[in-house]
Amino acid sequence: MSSPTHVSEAVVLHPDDNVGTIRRIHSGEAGTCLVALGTETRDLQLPTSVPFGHKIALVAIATGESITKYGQRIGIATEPIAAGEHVHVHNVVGCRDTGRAYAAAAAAAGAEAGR
Amino acid sequence: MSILGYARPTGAPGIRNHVALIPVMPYALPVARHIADIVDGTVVVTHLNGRGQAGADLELTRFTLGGIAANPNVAATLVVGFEPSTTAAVVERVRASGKPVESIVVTQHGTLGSIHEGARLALELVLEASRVERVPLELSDLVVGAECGGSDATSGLAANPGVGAAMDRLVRAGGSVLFNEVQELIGAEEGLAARAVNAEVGRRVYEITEKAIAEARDAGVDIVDANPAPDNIAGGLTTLEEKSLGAVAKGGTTTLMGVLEFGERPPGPGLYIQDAPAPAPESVASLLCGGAHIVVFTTGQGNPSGCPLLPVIKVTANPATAKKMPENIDIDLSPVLEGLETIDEGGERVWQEILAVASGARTRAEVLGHDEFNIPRIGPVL
Repeated sequence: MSSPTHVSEAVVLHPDDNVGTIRRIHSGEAGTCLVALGTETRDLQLPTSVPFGHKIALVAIATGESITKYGQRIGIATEPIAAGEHVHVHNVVGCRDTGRAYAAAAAAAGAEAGR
Repeated sequence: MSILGYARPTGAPGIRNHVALIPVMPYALPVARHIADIVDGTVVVTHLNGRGQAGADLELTRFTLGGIAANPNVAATLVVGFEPSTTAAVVERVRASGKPVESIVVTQHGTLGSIHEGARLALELVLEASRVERVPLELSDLVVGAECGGSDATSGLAANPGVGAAMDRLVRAGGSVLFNEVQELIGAEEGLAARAVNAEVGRRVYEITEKAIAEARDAGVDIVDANPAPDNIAGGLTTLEEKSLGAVAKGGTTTLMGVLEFGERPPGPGLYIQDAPAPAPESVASLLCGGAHIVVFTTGQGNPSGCPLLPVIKVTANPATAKKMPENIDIDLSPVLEGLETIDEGGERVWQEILAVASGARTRAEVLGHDEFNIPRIGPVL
């Protein structure tokens, strides 16, 4: 359970995810966030405040690495992201945004279907 | 637990036992409404299609009306027509359901005569329907549709994953899950294709979203460029993939068994996607035509939309919406959002509600008469 020392709470939607989403704000400042995956919880230090509905990195994520939410890729890191850091449009690009990764995935699916 | 359904000549038993009043075109609608006022047990399928339509556009209307009559929640149908030939065409589609069907033609009796004769026919259909045998409904008979409207950050975080957990339970029990809203699949293709039962189904996911993107582009809208919208980004959504994955979470996490056309029925158990549009009236039309017994409908900002003939279970995880629109919300998943309950615990509540509604418990949209429904028009008015 959260304690008065937690600034916010985040939920992780799938065990494979490397981001959590802020679902509850207490003080809204930088500090300790309570991160829940199912019934398991842990503390994570947030270097900055992160608003409701926004994402935080659960682990360090390297440039070019996938951002995973719902157990699925939602984008690619454009710079190194430290654990606890805000993950958003400033450090992530969608695969659909550039079209390249998307086109490759669509082509791969089509090629496989053609076999 | 055992659920008693209503026996049908073919296919799954129903969980409701309505006599459908299906107007063939707008001129027949007022007569259908009057009949419904007089005869208890009837439900008007309110739509304004059927006039000025041709080709594939008219075919979609007639296919949908036939599919509605075949829905397991329908015991019998009265086709309320305007002129003999178009009425006969719809009666023929409805007759394919194997269920009792009657018809009335307004040009043959006038408005008052049609109301009188139609009410007499509807009365007999209702009496006959009330004597339909009650038979056990297996969970493997059950088809549940998932839909979302007025989505916000709480939808992707709690309401849709919670409903998804309930849908996973239905699939594990051998039932079928349907969802559509093709515009909201754009960006989620990779994950859906990875869960597809085979490569052809994966390819079809990309095919229907490409078609939706092209249709929007023809109408002057670039869906990919426009999403996530500035207010989505302010709310924390970073990419189009993330936005769409939040929407498709309502379908659960099981293997995608197939991609179907608008209004097509799932050919077997498991999870299916229909190629149908996102707005609720068109989305539920496709689910209704596709044989869904129940629709589970999530909302963030609040959307009261229902469906004729089907109970619609409204779910929100937005505490403000649950407070502001209590008469419209059947299940409040805000405890999931607030971390007081896990997604799986919330999903269990939704699942228990599905079982209760299948057993006869009524939903708020059903009692309040929310019967929003629309058959898409894909051609010009001629």
